[in-house]
Amino acid sequence: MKYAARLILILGCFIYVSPLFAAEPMEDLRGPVEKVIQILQDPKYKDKTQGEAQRIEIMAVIREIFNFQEISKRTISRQWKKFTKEQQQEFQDTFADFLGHTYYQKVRDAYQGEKVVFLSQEHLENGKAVVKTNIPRQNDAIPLDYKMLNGKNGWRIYDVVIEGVSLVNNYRTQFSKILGKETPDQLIARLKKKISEQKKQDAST
Amino acid sequence: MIHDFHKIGMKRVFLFFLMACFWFFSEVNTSFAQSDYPSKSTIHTSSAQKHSEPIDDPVNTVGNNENMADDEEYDDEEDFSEEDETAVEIPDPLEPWNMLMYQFNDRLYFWVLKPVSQGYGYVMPSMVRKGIWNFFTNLESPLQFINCLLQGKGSDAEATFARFLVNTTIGFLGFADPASDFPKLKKTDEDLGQTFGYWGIGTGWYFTLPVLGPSTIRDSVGMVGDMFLKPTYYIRAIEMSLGLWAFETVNTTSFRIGDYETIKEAAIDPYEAIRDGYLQLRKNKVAQ
Repeated sequence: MKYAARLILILGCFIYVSPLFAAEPMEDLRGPVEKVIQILQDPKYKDKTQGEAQRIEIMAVIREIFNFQEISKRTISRQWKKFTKEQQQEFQDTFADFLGHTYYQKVRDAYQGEKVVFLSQEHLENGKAVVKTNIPRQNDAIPLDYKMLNGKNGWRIYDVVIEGVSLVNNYRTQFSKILGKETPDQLIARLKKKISEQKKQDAST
Repeated sequence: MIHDFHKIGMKRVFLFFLMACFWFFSEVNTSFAQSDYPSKSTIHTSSAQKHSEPIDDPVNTVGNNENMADDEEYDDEEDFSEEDETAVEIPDPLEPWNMLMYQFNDRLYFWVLKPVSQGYGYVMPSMVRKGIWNFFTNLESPLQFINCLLQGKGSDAEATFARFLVNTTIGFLGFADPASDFPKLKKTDEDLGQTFGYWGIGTGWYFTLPVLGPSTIRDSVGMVGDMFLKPTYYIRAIEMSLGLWAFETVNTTSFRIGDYETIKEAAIDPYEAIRDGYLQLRKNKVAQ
């Protein structure tokens, strides 16, 4: 009995603790990526008028796996302090919306049943990790690396590296040039203008 | 004919020399600018923020104390150290020229290259286009081979050589790509610009070439050097050589329609996005 109780206690510990250990970045990423592919292939979205509903459904998955707060901080970098708390929040929401709109349209138009191939994961220091994947195409494969940060909600993406080009670095260069001349509000306005242009374009196609 | 060829060769050697001088000048200038004060074009990323901090801090502490505590976690210098490793900061003193060429190339793409490549892709079956792609890729083997050697990548050079042999013989002069069935004969992607980078030579300024697109001074010099390693260069008639190159460009573009549009539409400042993208891409390739 004593042993049985001990065994149960030990097993209990494992069961309780296991989610903490089991959370591997690649596993945390695989689910949402497959979910997005599933939504993309969903026959109920064959009709283009359902595009908005599809985008919203995908965006919900994206918001779960992407750490937009971290992405925003990193793209604004040292200028982040210059933003008021309201501006930070607004920037974060607008930027997430902008990225969602931009890439949803591209992925929807270009997606032809490609599978994402998960290659490897590598733990870095400070609770960060890189998950390497690639997307096979006709003549080549596009290497796509996800940089992930471990937080209380598991592993979340803070940067995407396409063929060695970091998106966060790329936007940082652009934003730092704009913020050299303009205010944070003007930058947010630029993003909003771009979103409304995308919406218009999307409606016309 | 031989005389003509000699003349063209001399012209290219002269061009190469001219570019090398320009590159040297820009390198000296760049390293000077980096070691001393940041030059005008980098000012907003480094010095401007530092000056603004003291002005901002009182506002933050008075305004919202929570915000301050929140910020402390992230705004430690070390938190950005990782970015600085991957970020590429190269001054852009040639911006007026580059901007002009960027706009020229943009129009060239949308008005000429895209419609032509789309029409071509529509007429030519993708099997044929793939074969032509393979043929031109195979012709680049000497270039790949030499650059692998120059970078001391012996096994890559061997793989390139074996690849060339297999594809030229069994692969019908390179139109088929049987070598890709052997993972050991992996494709390499080297050029003289990368070789220079491997030797530790800096990129020099960002430099947009008409027609050819984004480059740096180093990569432009490399491109001229690479020309000598391409079999198409040794075709006597320059019109033929250029024609083949144009054909190759159209063929390659027919596989990549939409890529440029994606980059452009995802950008808030397309010129800056392409500049940074190119520099990151090259840095990554040199590191490989």
